[in-house]
Parts: sequence; C-alpha cells; structure tokens
Amino acid sequence: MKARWVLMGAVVAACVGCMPTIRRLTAFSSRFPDNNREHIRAVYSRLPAESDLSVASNAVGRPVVAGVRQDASRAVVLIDLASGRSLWSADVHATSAPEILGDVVVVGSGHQVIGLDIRNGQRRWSVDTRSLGYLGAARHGDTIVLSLSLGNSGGGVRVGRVVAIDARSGGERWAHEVVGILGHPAASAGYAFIPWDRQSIAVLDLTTGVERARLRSIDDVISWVFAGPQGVFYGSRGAYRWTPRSASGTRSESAYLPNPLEGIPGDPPLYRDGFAPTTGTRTARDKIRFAFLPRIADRDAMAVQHDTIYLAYYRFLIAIDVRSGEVRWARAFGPEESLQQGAGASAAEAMRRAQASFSEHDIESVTVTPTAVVTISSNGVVRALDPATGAIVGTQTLGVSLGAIAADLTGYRPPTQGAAPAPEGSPREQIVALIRDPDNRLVPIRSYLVRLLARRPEAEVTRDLLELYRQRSIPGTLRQEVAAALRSRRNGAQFLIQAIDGEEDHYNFLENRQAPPLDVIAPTLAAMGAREAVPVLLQHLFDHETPLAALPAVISAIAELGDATVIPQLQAFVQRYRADSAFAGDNSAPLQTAAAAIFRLGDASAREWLAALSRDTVVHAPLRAAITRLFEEERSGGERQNQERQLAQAREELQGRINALRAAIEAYPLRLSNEGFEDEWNNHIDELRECAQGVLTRRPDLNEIRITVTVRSEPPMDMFETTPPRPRLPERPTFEQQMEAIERQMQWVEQQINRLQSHRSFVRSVAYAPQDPEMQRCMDEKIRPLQFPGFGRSNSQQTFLQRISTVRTQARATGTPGFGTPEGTSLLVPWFLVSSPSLDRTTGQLVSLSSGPSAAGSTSNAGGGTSSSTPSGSAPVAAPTAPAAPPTPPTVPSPPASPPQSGQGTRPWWEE
Amino acid sequence: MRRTALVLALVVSAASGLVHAQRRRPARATGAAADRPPEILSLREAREALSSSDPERVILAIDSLTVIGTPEVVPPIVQLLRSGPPDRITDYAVEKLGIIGQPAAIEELSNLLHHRRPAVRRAAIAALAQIRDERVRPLLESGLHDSDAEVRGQAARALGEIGARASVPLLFRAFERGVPEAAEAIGRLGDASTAVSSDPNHDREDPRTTTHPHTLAMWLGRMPLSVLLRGFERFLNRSDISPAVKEQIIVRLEQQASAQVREFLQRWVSSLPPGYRGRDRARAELAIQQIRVPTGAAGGGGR
Repeated sequence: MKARWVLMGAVVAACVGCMPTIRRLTAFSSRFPDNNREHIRAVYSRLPAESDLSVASNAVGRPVVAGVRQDASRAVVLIDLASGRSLWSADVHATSAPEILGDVVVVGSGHQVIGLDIRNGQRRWSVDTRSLGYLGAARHGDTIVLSLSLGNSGGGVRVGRVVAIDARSGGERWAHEVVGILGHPAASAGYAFIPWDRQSIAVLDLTTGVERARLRSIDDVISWVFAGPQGVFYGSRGAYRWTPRSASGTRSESAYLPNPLEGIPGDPPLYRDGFAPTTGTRTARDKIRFAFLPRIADRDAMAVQHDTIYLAYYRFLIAIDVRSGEVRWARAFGPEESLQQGAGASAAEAMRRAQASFSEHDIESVTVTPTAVVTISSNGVVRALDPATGAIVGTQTLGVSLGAIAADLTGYRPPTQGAAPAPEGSPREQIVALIRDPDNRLVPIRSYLVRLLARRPEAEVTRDLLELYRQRSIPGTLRQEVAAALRSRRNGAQFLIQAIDGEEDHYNFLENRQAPPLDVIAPTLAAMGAREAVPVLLQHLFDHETPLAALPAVISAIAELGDATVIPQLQAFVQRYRADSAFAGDNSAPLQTAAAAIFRLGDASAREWLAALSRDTVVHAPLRAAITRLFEEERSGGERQNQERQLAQAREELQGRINALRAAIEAYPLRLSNEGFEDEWNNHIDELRECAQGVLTRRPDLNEIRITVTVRSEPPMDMFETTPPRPRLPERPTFEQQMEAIERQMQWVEQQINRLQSHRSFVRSVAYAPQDPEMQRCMDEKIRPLQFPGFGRSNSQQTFLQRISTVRTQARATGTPGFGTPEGTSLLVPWFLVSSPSLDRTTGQLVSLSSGPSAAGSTSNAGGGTSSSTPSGSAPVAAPTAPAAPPTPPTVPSPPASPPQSGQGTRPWWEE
Repeated sequence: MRRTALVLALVVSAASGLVHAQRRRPARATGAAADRPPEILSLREAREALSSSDPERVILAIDSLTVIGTPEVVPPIVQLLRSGPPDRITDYAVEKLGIIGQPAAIEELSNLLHHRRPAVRRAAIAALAQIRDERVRPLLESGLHDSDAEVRGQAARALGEIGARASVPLLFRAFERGVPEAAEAIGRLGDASTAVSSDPNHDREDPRTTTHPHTLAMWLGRMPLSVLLRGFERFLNRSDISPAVKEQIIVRLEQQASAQVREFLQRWVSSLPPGYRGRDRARAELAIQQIRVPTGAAGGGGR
C-alpha cells in the first residue's frame, strides 16, 4: 500500500517535472487562433486607464537619461536631468541601447543581458542570450520580459526566445523558444506583447507565459509595439492603438493613424523598428526617426498629442501635422554655431570646419512629452522645444557625449535658460531654410523637402525654388531636384518673369551675374500658360549670353505662348544665323526649333519664306533638311489623313452593307408563308382553271379540286455567311491594297445579299384530287416549273394545299355560268364525294351547298403549307382536319338549317 | 604696257590701301563711273552685287561701298548682315562698317554686340571704336560685361583708343575681375592718381578690400607684372603725367626688384630722347643699377 503511494507520488512528481515542457507549448502555437475577438477584447479590458504623466516612474524618482559613452569603454551612464549630474557610470561595454525599467537599467553586453541597479549602477543580474541577438526588454510589475532573436537581418535561421525574469534577481520565470524572429517586447497590465515575424503580436500572461491573445495583421506589417500610459500601440509606417477593433487585423477597421509622409529618405517607421537590434553606438537609425506622444481619443481612435508627429533627421527637426501632412515648423540645430566656430578663417575653411562639426549637433534622442519636445544632441545638449512653434524653451548641457540614449522624461520640467525663438518665417520659409542648409550629409532630406515644398500651394514657392536653383553652392543632385520641382509648379509665373525681366537678369561678367536658368524657367512658363512672358523671352532669344542649350526651350516657350506676332522676330533670328557657324552642325537645334515654330504659327507667306530658305544652299544643311522635313511631314500627314479618311469611309460603307446582309439573313424566312406561296400561285390560277375545265366537264358534280404542292428549298450553307473572307495583305499594306481589299469584301457582301434575294424554292411534288390524269398532266405542266421564295436555313420543304372550289357555280347556275357545274345542274355533292367511291349517287346523300359570292374558280388554301415534318397552321381560313391528297371521306356534316345568304363570303362548305 | 600697269596699280590701291586711306574721307565718286577704276562698282551696282550668290562678288561690293563711304552705303551692308551671310562675309562687312565710320552703322553694330559668335562681337567693338559718336562709349563699356575674355579685352582696348576717360572706374573693375587689357587702357586714360598714390601705404592696401580709390600700383604683387607694366608704360610715356609721378611709379616698380622690371626700365630709358635729363630718367637709371637680379632669374615674371 505504501509502495503504491510512493509510486503515485513519483508519477505526480514526474508530471510536475514535465510542466516547463507543457508551458512551452502554451504560446506561439500554430493552432492558437489569430485575431480572436474575445481574446483581444479581454486584453484590452485589462489595460489601465491613462496614468499620471507628471510623476517619474523610475526608481530614482526624477527624469533621467541613460546612454552609452561613445568611447572605447562603452560605459553606460545615467544622468539626472534635473541637476544635469551624472549619477553613475557602469563599465559594461554596452552593445545595445540601455533601457530604463523601474529600478533597473537593462543593457545588452555581448552574449549577456545585464540588469544594472538604477540607484548605483551596480550589476544586479545577467542573463545569457544563448548566442541570440538581444532585441530589448519590457517590464510590468516585478517581471521583465526579454526578446532574443536570430535571423532578424535575414539568413536561413530564424529563431527567437522570450524569457521572463524576476526584475530583482534575474531568475527565469518562464521561457518560450519560437521558430521565427521576435521584436522588442512591450509590457502592460500583466501581459507581455511580443511582436513576432513582423506580422503578429503574441500576448502572453506575464505570470505564466501562457498566450492569451494573438493579433495578426492581414494587410500590414508589424514592426514595433510599445506600451505607454495611454495604452498599447503597434504598427510599422503607421500606428495602431490596441482596441477591440484590432481583432479585425486590418487597417481600415482598426484604430489606425497613417503616416502622412511617404518616401522619406531612410524610410523610417513611425516608431523605432523593434526587429532591428540596437548596437549601443550612434547609428543612422537613431538619427532618422519619428517621435510622437499618443493621446486618448474618442471611440478608441488612434490619435497623437497636438496632432503632430516629429521627424528627427540628423540635425533637422520637423513638426508635421499628422492629418494633412503639412509642415508646422521646421528647424535645424547647429549650423550657426558651427559656422561661428569657423569665423576668422576663409569662407572655404569655415565651411570645411563647419561640415566636420555638423555631426556634433545630430539629434540622438527625441522624446515628446505633454508640454515639450525634448531632443538630446550628440554633443550632449538637451533642448526642450515648444511643440506648437518650435521655439526652444530651454537648453541644458549634459557635459558628456552620449549615444544610444534612453530617456525617462516623466515629470520633466524644461530648464529656463538657453531659450531661443521659434524658427523665423512661415513654415514655407522654414522649409526653404532647411533646404539651404550647408550640411552636405543631408542632401537626401533636403531633396525630399524640395518635393514637399513644391507641393505647397503658395505662389511664392515658385520664387523660393527659383532662388534655390540659382544658389551656386547647392549640390548638383539637389539642383536637379529643385529644377524638377520648379517645372512642376503651375502658379507663381510672375516670379519667373521677374527673374528674367530687366537688365540685371542677364549675364554680366563684371557683376558676376549668371544667366538665368532659362532651360528651367522657359518650359515652366510655357506649362503655366504665361503669355505675358513672351516679350521677355524674346529678349533672351537675342541675348548672346543665353546658353545655346537653353535656346530651344526659350524658342519653344515663345512658340507655345505666342501667336503670329512673334514670327517676324523668329524670322529675324533664323535669318541672321541661317549660315553662321555659331549654329552649324549639332548647334542648329535652336534654328530648327524656330523654323518649326514659324511653320506652325505662320501663314502662307511665312511658309513660303521657309520654303525659300530650304532651297538656299547657303543655309545650314541641317536647317534646310529640317524645314524640308516639316513640309514633307505635313504633306504626308495630310495625305495620310485623307487616305485614313477614305479607308474609314470605305470600312464604314462595308460595315453598313454587312449590317444589311445580316438584316437580310435575319429577315430570310424560316418558312414559306402562305402569302409567299400564293403570290406566285395566284399568278398562274387562270392557267390552272383552264386545266380544270376538262375535268369539270367530265365530272360535273365535282365541287372542289384539291392540289397538294410540296415546295422544297435548298439554300447553300454559305449563303448565310456574314463575315467577308479575310483579305490577304502584306504586313504593311499600302493604301491601295487596303482599298482593294475592302472593295473585294464589299463585292462579296453584295453577292451574298443577291444570293439571298434571288434564292428560290421549287416544286418538289404535286398531288391532285380528283386524280384525273388529264387534269393532272395539264396542271403538272403549269405547277412543276413554278418557283417560290426561298426559305429555311438548310434543306427543307413545305406542303401547301390549294383548293379550287366549284360549289358556287351552282349558285350561279341560274345566271352566270359557273366554274365547274354545267348549267341547270341541281345536284350538289361535295367534291370529295364526287370522286369518292363511297358516294351513293343514287340515294343522294347530298348536301345543299349555297353559292358564295367569291369569284368563280377561286382557290382556297386549306390548311396552308405544311412542311414535311410539321403541318402549318397559318392558313387564311380555319383549316379542317382534312387530309391533303388523297382526300379521305369525312363524316358528312349536317346541312345548315337555312341556306346561306348571298354575300356572306367564301366560306368553306363545312362551316356553312 | 605702261597704261595697263597704271590701271592695275589703281585697282590695287582702291581695293586695299585706298580703303584705309579714305576711311575718314567719304569718296566723292558716287556718280562718276568713268573716273573710277573699272573694278569698283557704283552704289547701285554694289547694292545689286550684295545679293549675289558669288561670295567674291559680294566682297567686291562691300569693298566698293567702303570706297564710296557715304552714309548711303550703310543700309545695304546692314541689310546684308541681317540676311545671314556666311561667317567670312559677316566678319568682312562688320570690319568695313568700322572703316566706313558712319554713325548710321551704330545701331546695327550695337545689335552685333549680341551676336552669338565672339569674333563678330569683337569686330563690332573694333568697328564702333572707329566711329566718332557719343553713343559709342556706353556700347564699348557693355563689351566689358561680355562672357568672352577676348571681347572684354577688345572692349578695354577700344575704350583706351577712343580716350574714354569717364570709363576709367569701370576699367578698374574690369581689371580687378581679370581683364588684363584694362591695365593698358587705364594707363592711357587715367590721371596720375590712378597710377600711383603719393602715400606708399595706400598703394600697399589690398585693392579687394580697401575702400580707398584704386591705383594701378596697388595691384603690384597681386596681378602679373607683365600686365601691370603695360599700364605703367602708358603712364610713363604720357606727357601729361608729371616727372614726379613717373618717379613714384619707378620707385614702386623698383620695389619689385625683378629682372622683368629692370628690362622694362632699360627699354623705357632707351626710348627717351637722348637729350632728356628729367628726374624720372635719373630715377629709372638708378633703379636699373640697384635692382640686383640673381643669376638665372633674368626675364622671370614676378607677382
């Protein structure tokens, strides 16, 4: 029994021993659900309300700055901002930026992460990174979570490790090993927020390490996450606030604030990239960065303090309206001091010294507080700026040159000394001042500012850009950017005209003035449609100091903006230099441009003048050739247009006939209508009547002759083609070849239409009742040659029943001789009974048929045509179910109660 | 035979030497065709010939118009220039406009100061310098602003030639900006105070920064000596410059103590009349003796 308990205890102990292994499976699992609304909401609900920002959160209780001394020692230094004193220095050879986490300053040093006591800098603990890169730490309560990762900069191995340690002892509380790269963590409300694979954030319970929620961006990248008093924020180029809406995983549905600026050189994210390890040295990544202070907004929106984000770019600090992207203020640190240091030396030497010392003013750290934007420069100068204006409200010096700076500015009160006014002028002027900055390292951001400037609507921007372009000291790449920006302007033409108008706006050797940049100004004026610039441009056309390369642009602008009144001056220009060596060979472009302008703007006399010029052998050959080309192009262009017009017309006509063909095919009957049949049939009725005379004589009791005609149509299949055969043309057919091809297609279409219209159906067979051979022969001769309109899409036939009634002859017996019955005959017998063997002529099962008013010998189509397969129901009179030939005797109908009145029309006998 | 030779001699003189000889004296042979050599065209013929496709005939026409030399000849030549002839004819016609020397040509010559070919601009300046008209000086001054160094030099020389004393300040500016020809023009036009100051300290001031009136002597050591000597030579050769001033010039030059200065002074002394015994000559001879030139340094240009 006892042994059994021991065994059970061992099993339990073994299970407990397995716990860490089990824990490792409780986070970063592929089966953990992404963007679970309940999970996201649960995390959000535990995030604290906005906390007090006026009291320092570190254990020193005052605003402090930690940084790495930029010398061989790489010592970590902690400085009290209030006193400006260094609190301690720890020789740890930092290989990462330090982080101030409550009572600990955490810093990477080789393969260790070290915790330094914030009060004295003593090493409190260290954690082995296991050869992984240290990404950073975050703290909540007494737990510090560390992110370690390998492969963040690429490579085949991508592994990470999250370790939670005790903030006091450094003892490991839990850890997860992850396949994938991790970023700098954040911690708040008992959770660790671990950015993972630049796409997800795993939220782990700080106590247990169990994953509680996972956010995965569907349409964005997650480069960073941080927790502040206002909440938890994450993002990449833009910023998200952690809210229940984050569960959507999308920008549109999350609380998202985009960065209004794009294309900034260096492409900085809105917050420091958490996946890029810090080095403990000064890096470009630290010098090109955004800073902002989140604020609580309505409906959990993502918003920032003052609606402003701040771009620190080496020595530049630019405040940007986060909604519009407009620059609110912009200023640079350092050039004035640097230039003053070089005073007394030559200008070149002063500039050289200034260039060398500019880096001392680079902004190593920028932090936004509720009342100030605080920067720390490489030279240890701390400046607090008014967020609204950029004025420096206070300056202090740390007395030490630091890099990889971390600042805990909670409760920071800027010093009162060292104030400086806001940067001069409007934001536009401030941007221009930065573009003019002599720091050659900053050409990329200066170029970017040029583009930013060019987008502004003020007309003065055009003047600014022009002045920048004329600044001789400006680097070439920047000048090109300015030129492109200038060309993009569409207002401020007056400034451009001012720049080229007047005596002082031409080249002057003694005054050391350069020619204005007409190669940029002229096209811009043309694009602006500034017609008032024409006289000024003409002045520059005749100024020999206008660079030859700019002349085509000047002339083109004159031509574009001017009218026929400029032609005499253009002619004078061309005339004077038509044979001058100044415009020989490749230099003839301006003359050619002017000739083209005269050609375009001039009347007939101007063209005659040009034509004469092209014939003059004294004139430069390229100019003559260009003029000849102008005429040829117009001529060929005119002919081509004419030919194209003709072709288009011919194609249109062809299409019209094709449409007519299609309409004809559409209208082509699928069946031969009774009318169609009778139109032809009735043309021959008299001939048939003659054939009937004989049989009526022989059989006077015959009431009706029935003729069944089967008509067959055999339309060829290709008769219904509507697409003309494709013509065989060479790859580049001539106009004549194309016209001929269209003509052939047209002929084909006409043939098709003719075929449709002329196609006829023919009599396939004829049956008669009564089957009188003589009548049959006679009628055959008349009927068989008949042709009817074509029908059907393929071979088909229809049968038409025609009746030649003889009954009304009886009605006329008293007067007019009838069609079939001899005069005086009173015996009326239905026609089919007449010839029927079942007729008992003696008993006289006779029906008294009244005479009708229709013309003698009229025929009726009983039942209409019937195709070989389907009987037609389109007879002009209601068709009985009488068969065609040979007729079968129907039931004899009852005679009518009273004889029909004359004038009732030709009704079939059975209806009467 | 003798007759033929006489005719040939007349033609040659008309076509070349006569042109120059008569540039200030309009010919009076406009109507008398029988009195002129057969190759000289009448005004009407010359006008017609200007539109010939044969360049030689055009040249002949220009020559003829130059010989005629009256104001009437200017418009046809101007028209020719505006019609865009080849370089050779353009250059020739501009030159002849100067020889003709008629103020009627000023307008076209001023246009030609903006011709895109520097040679034409130089020729126009030279032509303008031969026309006595108050409008000429500003036009020549405008040449100092030109981007072409030779044009600027031509303008400086031309200003010196026409005696444009009012242009001396501008010539100084041109000289400061690197137009060496301006030194010679200053030497021809400037008064004594523009050559050398009575205060040696003044002449030692930096002309680029001083606010005092400039003297040519201030540029000693700052500009090539050969350039400055051309200006000082002009001053030394002028009769309106006092010997005392010339003596000061010689003293400033002596301070350069170069072989170039010594050779210059020697050449100047030798050019003086043998009987001249002025104090300037004595100072120059003394300077020649005192300038000690190291072996091998002879002829070197100093700055």
